[in-house]
Formats: sequence, structure tokens, C-alpha cells
Amino acid sequence: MSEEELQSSESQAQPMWRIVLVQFLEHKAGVVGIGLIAALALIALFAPVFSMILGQEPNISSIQNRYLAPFEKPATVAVDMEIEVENFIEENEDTLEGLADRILKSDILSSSEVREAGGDPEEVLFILMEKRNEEGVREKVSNNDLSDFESVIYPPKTAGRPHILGTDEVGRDILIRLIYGTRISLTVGLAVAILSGLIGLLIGSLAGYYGGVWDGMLMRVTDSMLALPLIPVLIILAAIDFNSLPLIGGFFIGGSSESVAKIIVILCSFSWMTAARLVRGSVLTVRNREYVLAAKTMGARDFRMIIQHITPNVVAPLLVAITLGVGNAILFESALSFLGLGIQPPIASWGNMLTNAQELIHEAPLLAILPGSLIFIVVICFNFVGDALQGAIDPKSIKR
Amino acid sequence: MSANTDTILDVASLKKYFPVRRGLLLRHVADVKAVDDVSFSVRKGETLGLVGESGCGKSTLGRTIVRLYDPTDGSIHFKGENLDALDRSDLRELRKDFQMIFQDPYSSLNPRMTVASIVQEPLDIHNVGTAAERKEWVRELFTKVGLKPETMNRYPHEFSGGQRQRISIARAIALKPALIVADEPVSALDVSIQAQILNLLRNLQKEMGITYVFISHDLSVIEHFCDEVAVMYLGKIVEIAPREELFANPKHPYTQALIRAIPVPGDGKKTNRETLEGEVPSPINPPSGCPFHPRCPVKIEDCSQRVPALLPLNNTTNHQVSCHLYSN
Ligand SMILES: Nc1ncnc2c1ncn2[C@@H]1O[C@H](COP(=O)(O)OP(=O)(O)O)[C@@H](O)[C@H]1O
Ligand SMILES: [Mg+2]
Repeated sequence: MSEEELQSSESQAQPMWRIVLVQFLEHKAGVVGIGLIAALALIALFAPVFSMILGQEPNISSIQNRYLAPFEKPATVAVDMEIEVENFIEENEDTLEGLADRILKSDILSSSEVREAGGDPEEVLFILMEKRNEEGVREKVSNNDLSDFESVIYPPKTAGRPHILGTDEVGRDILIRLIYGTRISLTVGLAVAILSGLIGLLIGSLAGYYGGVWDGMLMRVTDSMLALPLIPVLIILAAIDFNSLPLIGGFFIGGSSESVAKIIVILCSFSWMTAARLVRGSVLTVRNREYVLAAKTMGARDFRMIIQHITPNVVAPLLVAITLGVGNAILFESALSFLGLGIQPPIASWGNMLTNAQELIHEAPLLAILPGSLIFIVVICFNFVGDALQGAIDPKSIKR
Repeated sequence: MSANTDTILDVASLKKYFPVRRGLLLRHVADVKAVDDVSFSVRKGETLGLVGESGCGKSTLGRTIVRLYDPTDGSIHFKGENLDALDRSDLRELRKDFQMIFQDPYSSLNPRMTVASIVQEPLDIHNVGTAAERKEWVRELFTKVGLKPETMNRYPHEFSGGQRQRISIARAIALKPALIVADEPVSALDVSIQAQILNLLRNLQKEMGITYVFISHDLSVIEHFCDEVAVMYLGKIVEIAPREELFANPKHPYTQALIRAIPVPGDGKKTNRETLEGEVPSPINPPSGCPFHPRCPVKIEDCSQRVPALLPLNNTTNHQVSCHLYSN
């Protein structure tokens, strides 16, 4: 150290987080990794916005437009008559009141035809639509102040928006499904990693701090669970319908996101063990570090010991483990979803997008390549970030 | 040795056993007798050296003195107070007065705290002075131990081993303690730096009147630093004497072997220096009689039968040895 350096660094203590940040930024792969993850997370967060911009919905299928190539325009607009009519009725209930009378007056339908519909505006509309291509009907509709119905009866014949990455086996837009899949995969990955980190923190610190019989019991449970072959156990668990179980059934949210909640719970219950072992190990070592003994000799109370000395040195490695755990959780989620046991369609997840892709790997390779490479990239990114964090957080590696 | 008025630390029949537990129910199957019936006292302002091979219980003894461990049996009187009889808050108050310096300069400082906050920690714990006064005192302490106060906002990893040990020392003297237990404070350092740290400790002793219990496995370090030397073997003190007396006139065969093993400067060859044969026995299952007898070159029949007591030699009162050769 030269004199100038000493002088310049005199004034202020650098807070630990800044040192860690600077160290982290030196790890190129980690920075790229966190950049990509942040970008994906933003896209996932604003998935509905993308849906609007692209004009595509993740769960709308269209039989006419299966396996479209990227940028290929859909041949015809597949307007589902029934859906269109129902939507229209919902939005314009008040104007529909006098529909039957107005139609009678306009002489498009005969009074017997209207009577047949029983005055039900929906029926009337359907009958009207069946006759829409007969001669002179279009003129009658526009001339007899029925123009407010014209858009339903004669929907505009625009070609649909192009599917940027093409469509899948039921004609759903791949890009928007990938975006919604990112949402699911990141949510599941982060939730599982964080929750199992917290479970591990609890169990590991109980075992490490109290030692003795507690330690023996908790660690034996941990070891037995570690010894289970993970994939078969997960498959069995995933195949159980939790809602039909007597006690815990009630805790599960029903409805569409049920499979998401279920997979988070299942993955959590089998991924806290590494964190628990890690935390226990750190607690045990830190407890006997000489700086902890020094604080004890000085008369430090438990609170100071835990906050000042033990926690930071336990949480730092745990943070790294959680980051690395995200990649693992995403992999397991994908694997289970791929097997059809994880996230249930129509909710998109990278894993279940792969399920159908494998049969068509030669005809439509993109179906497999896109979600596959997303899984690959994201898992690698989380590993890079974990690696960088490990380097940055370890005080011994800090060089100047 | 009887406790007189300037005795600051008096240890009597101190024992520290670590239970060995086995099995699922953690049944207590044996004890590690790390410190087994140890008595000595230290006068104010002096230095007692504790020497012995690694594993003989020096650290355990030191840690029991500063009450990192609760003794299994026996008593420790510090400044006339029986540490066992104190309640929590009185003990906490008294802790200001005795501190410990540890061996490993890398694990004795919390890597996530600046060295200034490390040195300030004892002041924070005991709420000494205002924030500004603490800062000022920390700055002074840095100068006292030979560090630049400008460096005090750095983290421990930015310092060398010797500098870290200076930081440990600054932390130990922050509350102006009467007694410091220094557990191998220089063993992890280069020889050239060892001398600097020993000098620092000696100067601080003169300046602040600190009493040291100085632990080392290295007799040559002890020889230059201590007023009185206790030699430990398997949890027991086998010989204790003033420094000059011990080095000029070692009585216990173990002490004699240790002194013979000190390297002589300039003498590159290890000529006729017999070293100790054999291993240190396990403190779980110590040998019968004198714990040293399996390795002793001059053992007599009695040695494996009876445990020798630590007794004064005939002519002097302050040279005690525990060996059957001298027991009549
Ligand atoms: N916390 C502990 N639990 C169990 N055994 C211990 C513990 N600390 C030390 N020992 C044992 O006590 C004996 C003395 O150790 P120690 O005091 O560290 O020796 P030294 O400092 O002289 O090298 C050794 O046999 C060691 O294994
Ligand atoms: Mg030791």
C-alpha cells in the first residue's frame, strides 16, 4: 500500500454491500447472467402488455392455424361465431331490447321467423347471421338503422396478425406462450428456492444451535430425505391429487393456478435439505470461530452474537445456495411438466411446451428448440450469478 | 503456592472434562480430561507461561480461565472474587477485566466488520463513553499497537497476519483489562514478526500493568517472555518454576526433554539431541500412575502405580515438580 492510497481511503468505511457489489461486477459471466435474468423477468412481469402489443393470447387455439412457420400469416380469421355473438350481447345489453321489433320493421326476417326465436335477441341474431349472405340482406341491414349490429353480422375480414415464432400443435402463438411460460418458470424457480432456503435456515439453525438430540434427529431426517431418489418420488407425489386427500386438501387453491401451487409445495418439500445442511454447518463453524469466542469473552449478549457475528456469516453462503437452487428448481419443474405431472395445460410452462414438441421434433423443431434453450440459458444464468455471488460474498477473495 | 495480596489470579484444582457421547441417544460414554486438577497462581503484572505439546490442554485451560467454558470442578479466583459464585451480570461486569488473544489471526477477526468496529466492539458491549469518545479511543489504540489509524476503516482481509494480531491486541486492551490470556499469539506468525508482537505485548504490559497468561508450545518463545513457567502434560501441570530456575535447573524428565529439543541458533546439525519417543496418550484414557511414564526415559517402578503430586522441591518453595524421582 502506498501512502497516497492510505490517505485516500482514510475518510469513510466502505459498507460491506458496496464491496460485494464491486466484486460481483468483476465477474463477467455473472453480470451477463443477471442481465439476462432481469430482462426475462421484466418480460414475464409485463406479459399481458406483450399480449396486447402482439395481439395474441396464450391460450387461444385455432385449428386452422396449426404449425405455422415464424412470421407466417394465418390464412383466415377463425372467428368463432358463437363467442363473438355472446361477447357482443354482453357488451350491448341495453340496445338489444328492441332488436326483434326493429328487425320486423326492416323486413329482413318474416314475423314467423322472429316468433320462432321466441323474442330472444341471441336467437334472432343467429338467424340473422345465417341469412347474411342472401341477396339484398346487407343493404337492408345498413339502410334500416341496424348499422350498430353490422360489425357482428359482417365481421371485418382482416387477416390475423402474424405469429412471430409460429404456432404450436393447436395453433397457439408460440412467442406469447414462451412469455407466459417464463412467468411460470421464474415464479416456480424463485418461490421454490426462497421457500426451501427459509425452511433450510430454520431447520439447519435449530440443529446447529441446539446441537445434541435435536441435531441428531433433524439431521437424520435430512439425510434420509437426501437419500431418496428424487425423480421417482416427485413423480409419485405429483401424480397424487392433493385435493382429494382428507386433511390437507382444503389448503390448496382450486382453479387454474392449482397445479402451480402444487408443484411449488412438492418441490419445496424435497429441496430444503441442502440448505439445511449448509446452514447447520455454517452455524457450527461460526459458533466456534475465534471471533465469536472473543465476543463471548468480552461479555457480548446473545442478541449481539446472533445479529452481528453469526447471522451474516450464515446468510451469506445461504444466499449463494438459494441462487444456485433456482436453476435446479426450474429444471425439476420443467422435467415434471414435461412428463405431464407438473404445470397443467392450458397454462404454459417451458416444460409442458416440450411435451408435445418431442413427437414432432423433425416436422417442427422450433417447438422443442425454443423452450429447451430458454431452460438451458436461464439455468446457466442462475449458476453464473450464484458463482459470482459466491466469489463476491467471500471476504477472503476480496482483493485490492 | 498461597494466595498473597498481589496475586491476581488463583486457580485451584481446576478440572475441565469434555463428555464423549455416542449413539442415537447420545449416551455419555467417557470424558476427555482436557484439564485435570490444575492449580497455580499469577501475581499482578507478571507473565505466566503455559507450555506443552499440542493437545495437552493449554487452550482449554486458558478458555476455562476466561470463562468460555464452565469448569467441571475446582475454582478460579480473579482479583479475590470466586468467578463461580458471581451471578450473570456481575460476571459480565468483571469480564471487562480479563480478555483473551487467540492464535489464528484469520479467524479471530470477523471478516464482515471493519477493523475499527472490531476494536470498538468491547466498548460497545460495555457502553463505555460517548460515541465520539469511543472513536477517539479506538484511534489511539491503533497508534498504541503500531497501526496507522488511517487504515481503521478497512476490513481484516486487507491486513497481514502480524497486523491482524495487532488488531486483536488492540481489541483485547480496549477495556484496559488487568489480565490477558494469550493463546499462542505468535505461533502462526513468521519468526521476524513474532519478535515484534512479543515486544508490543511487553511494552503494553509495562505501560498498563497487564498480567499475562501466555500459552505456547514453543519453549524458546516462553524463555524470552515469561516470569514464571508451567509445563503441562496430558491436562496436568508437571513442573512449575520461575523462568531462570526452570531453564537452569529443569527437574521433570519431560521438561528436560523439551529444553533439549530447543534448537540452538547457529547449530545446523541436530547432534545428540534426543527427541521424545512415542505419541501423546489419549486424554480420554490416560495411562495409570504418572501420565508421562510410558515415554519416560528414567521411569522407576512407582511411576506406573501411583500418580505423583505436584510438590515443592526441598530447597525452594517456588519450584514445584510432579515426579516420583524427587518425592522424598
Ligand atoms: N470442545 C471440545 N470438546 C471435546 N474435546 C475437546 C474440546 N476442546 C479440546 N478438546 C480436547 O481436549 C484436549 C486438549 O485440547 P486443547 O486444550 O486444545 O490442547 P492444546 O491447546 O494444548 O493444544 C485435546 O485432546 C482435545 O481434543
Ligand atoms: Mg491450543
